[in-house]
Amino acid sequence: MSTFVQISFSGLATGAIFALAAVGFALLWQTAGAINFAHGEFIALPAVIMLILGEHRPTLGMPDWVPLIGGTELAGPLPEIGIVAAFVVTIPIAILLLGFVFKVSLVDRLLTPGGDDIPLVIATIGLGLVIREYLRLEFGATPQQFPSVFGTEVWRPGRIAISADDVGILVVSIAVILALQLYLRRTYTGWQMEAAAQSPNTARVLGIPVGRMILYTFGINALLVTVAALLVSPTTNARWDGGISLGLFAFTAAIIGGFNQVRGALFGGFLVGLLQNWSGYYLSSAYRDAIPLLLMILVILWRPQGLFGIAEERTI
Amino acid sequence: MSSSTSTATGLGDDQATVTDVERGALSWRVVVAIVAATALVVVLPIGTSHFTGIMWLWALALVGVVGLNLLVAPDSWTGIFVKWMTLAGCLAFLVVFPIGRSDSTLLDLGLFAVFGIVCIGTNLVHGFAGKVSLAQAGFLGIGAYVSVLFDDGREIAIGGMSTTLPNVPFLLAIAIAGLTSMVFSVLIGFPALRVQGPWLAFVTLAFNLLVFLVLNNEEGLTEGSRGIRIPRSDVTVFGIDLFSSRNYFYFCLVFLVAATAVVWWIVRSPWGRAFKALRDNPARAASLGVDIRTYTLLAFSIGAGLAGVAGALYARLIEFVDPRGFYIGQSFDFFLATVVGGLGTLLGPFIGVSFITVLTDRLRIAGDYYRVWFGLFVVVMMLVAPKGVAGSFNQLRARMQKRLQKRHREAGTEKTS
Amino acid sequence: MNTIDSVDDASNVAVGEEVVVSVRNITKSFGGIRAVDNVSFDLHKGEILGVIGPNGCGKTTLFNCILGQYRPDGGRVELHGRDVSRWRPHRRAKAGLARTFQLLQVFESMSVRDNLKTAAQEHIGSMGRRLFQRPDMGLNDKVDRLVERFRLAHLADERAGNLSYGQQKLLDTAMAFVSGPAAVFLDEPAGGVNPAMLGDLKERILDLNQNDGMTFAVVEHNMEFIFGLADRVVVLEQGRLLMTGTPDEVREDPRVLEVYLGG
Repeated sequence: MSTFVQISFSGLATGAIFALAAVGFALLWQTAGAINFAHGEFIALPAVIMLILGEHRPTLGMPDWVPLIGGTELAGPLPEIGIVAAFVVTIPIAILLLGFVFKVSLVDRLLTPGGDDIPLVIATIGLGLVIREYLRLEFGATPQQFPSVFGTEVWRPGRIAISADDVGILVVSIAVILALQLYLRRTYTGWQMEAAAQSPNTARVLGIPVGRMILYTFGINALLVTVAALLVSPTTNARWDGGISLGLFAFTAAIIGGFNQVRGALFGGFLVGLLQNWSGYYLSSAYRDAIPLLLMILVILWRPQGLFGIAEERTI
Repeated sequence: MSSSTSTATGLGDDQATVTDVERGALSWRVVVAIVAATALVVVLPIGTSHFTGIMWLWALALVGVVGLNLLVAPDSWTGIFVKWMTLAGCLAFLVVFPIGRSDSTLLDLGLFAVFGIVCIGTNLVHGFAGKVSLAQAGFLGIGAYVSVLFDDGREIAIGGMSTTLPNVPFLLAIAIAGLTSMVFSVLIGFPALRVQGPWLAFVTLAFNLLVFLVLNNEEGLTEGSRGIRIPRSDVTVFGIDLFSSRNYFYFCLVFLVAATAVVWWIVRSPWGRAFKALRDNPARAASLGVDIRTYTLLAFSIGAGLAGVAGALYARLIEFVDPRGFYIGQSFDFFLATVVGGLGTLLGPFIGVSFITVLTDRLRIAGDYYRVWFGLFVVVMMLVAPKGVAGSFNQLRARMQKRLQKRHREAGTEKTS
Repeated sequence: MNTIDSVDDASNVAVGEEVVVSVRNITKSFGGIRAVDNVSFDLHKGEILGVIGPNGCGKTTLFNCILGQYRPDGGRVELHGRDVSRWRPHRRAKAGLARTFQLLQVFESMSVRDNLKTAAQEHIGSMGRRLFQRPDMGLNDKVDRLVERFRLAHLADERAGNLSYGQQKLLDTAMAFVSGPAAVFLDEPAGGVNPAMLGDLKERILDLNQNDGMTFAVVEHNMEFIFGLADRVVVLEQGRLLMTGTPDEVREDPRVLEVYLGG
């Protein structure tokens, strides 16, 4: 029993990160109809940026032509500001790059209303490749250790061991998602965003600036992936190719839970984390990734709207 | 040029002028795409001299299409003649070029042929039938491992059971590999009927990862991440020794040509129309009697079968299989290559596969930005010329045709008035 | 082959004798709302049946149930006395139930000719045979005659996506006929078509009805269009069958007036 509790607990912590990623992913789908195949790389990138800013790792081959990032010659070595400060600095960078630039340069151009969504899928697969390979070349192929914000302490109440990192991950992600929900439900902007997501045309008639609302969603997504990067990297390390599997499990979580609902993505994230840990321990550690994927295929087969989603009327 | 004979517009009915949807959208975009493609493939790899062959091939194909096909009507006799001459030229080039080349160049050419077969399959599935498949590397892997298992009387163990598989001739092993991939594709094809677009991409991606996990972990079957060495030394087909790199390349080339011929046949047959109908509008197709379930499965399984055959060839080409060669990243590469080459065109896969064969080659050089450029190229291509290289050429040709016709018509009316 | 050519055979059959399609107690709900509620009617050979009703009364849903796009919650559809309720759309199409959709649906990347060939080819031979048949499947003459008849001959090799809206609508309708179906279901054929083209479309439909004995069911908003076309009209209201009658009867019925004027 105690093993089960312990495994479930760390599963929840992993799941919380998937949930963060999946919620961002689902938000983009709801408001902009955008599917981002580079979502995982959107998590890997801020992780590396945070490492550079916060720790100034000499092993990360810095590009000296980017004064902001490396800047060894122009600005001298950056001070070690610590990972929390780096996180704070990274947020605006992420919002600018992964939110604004991404939306304006790719999504807006490729996603025409009523058009095909495959061009954006292709372009984001290409974008994922760009980010992955760029990280590999500039920051090395070896995974980089990433410090945990919550320290490495382990508490042992009774016969189970609970790490401070897991607790921190759970608390922070739940807090972030609660804050997001409150924002969407309780503030005027949040209400406008929901309206823009649910029926853009009506919202437009009501004078809601739909375009700006969609832009906000991209900002929120950038914020979520940055938080996810901060939380996930201590366990997975900052890796150039970390995005592939992370992204895939974010999709998996969103699909299992249901794409058109924030709570669906949330539930899906936790379920994927739990399933991974359970199957990893009780079935086979080699196939811990396989069970969520199988479940996703089953969900798509039998309940395409997701376990928590609401069936959308088929349009013919 | 017998351009105006091909299309039966211009029967003097100017009232019903064609609304040109793509007007003014393409010429400069095509130029950008071509310049970027040329820069990427021809200029960037300078320095890897042993690999200039692929560049030449690519340049030749390009010149063939641009220089000759652009100006003639595709359906006219001249057009047909020029098209076949281009194809014959490419083929002759592929036959002559390998003579006297080093083994490493022949290996790269072999990869070109093998990956070409995969991309031809991807093109049928996505370009013609409109279904996104991100599992082609998985099918490649299934084919590769299946062909390896039927070699040497290999002993395999799954779960608690173990058995010895018979040693079969190479050609038969290739056929089994293709068929096994087809069987798996039918299994994964059923979700394809329920979901569209991005969701299908996810399902196939998940399937590819499952294949990878099985290959990586079923050590009794696949030796896991250690991989299996599979020398070509004992392989003969019809008395021809395939150990020689050149012979083996020609062997792969036969399959590449056969795959092209098969897909060409399918696409021009009534099946091709049904696939395109499926791509353009599945609901409408069904309402006209097109059995979308069967056609989807057909497209999927043919694409997967081609990948399976390619897998069998691939294993013997590099004489080694390990699961990393069949990871989802490889599927992305096949997918992007096909898109960049031009979906729904017969020449597209050849252009696209040149890119990724170069990628494989360039990957051997540490600190090489080629893959970053390739990714950027894909993104830019989607923005400026989403039809890919070959597709853009076709569009350009259509525009020129229209312009020629118009001029022709104007000249005609001047004469009569 | 036989069915294919019947478009061109003049076979005048007296209206109202033989039942082609029989719709029995069709019911379909979406999340608790009954979009179609226990609707029954017969479609007789050689007639034009209009289906009218205010917005959201379930006309298109009814068509989708009859033609297999939706699976109804209850009821059945018979074609020449055979129950086709559980068949998938393509099988119903092959059996002779052709249709158009409310939104324009042609295969944009294909030429006009290929659109028509696609619409015809699945009705001929088996799937395996089709792979080895000539690409045109011997349909060229037939397609030529049809484009002539629908006044699309000068555009026969044009990409369907390049046609004007009205021309695409004509093509869309022509595609429903090319296989020589037992009955054709037109979903808002007049929607979005300009008045000049409208007369043309009406003329085509009447021509096919009178000279070929083609059977139609037509969903339409445009009352004038439907009253000038239909032999019989079915009126739906909130998913239920309100009444059936000749255009004149329907025009004068107080219930219909009430539904339309919201009285």
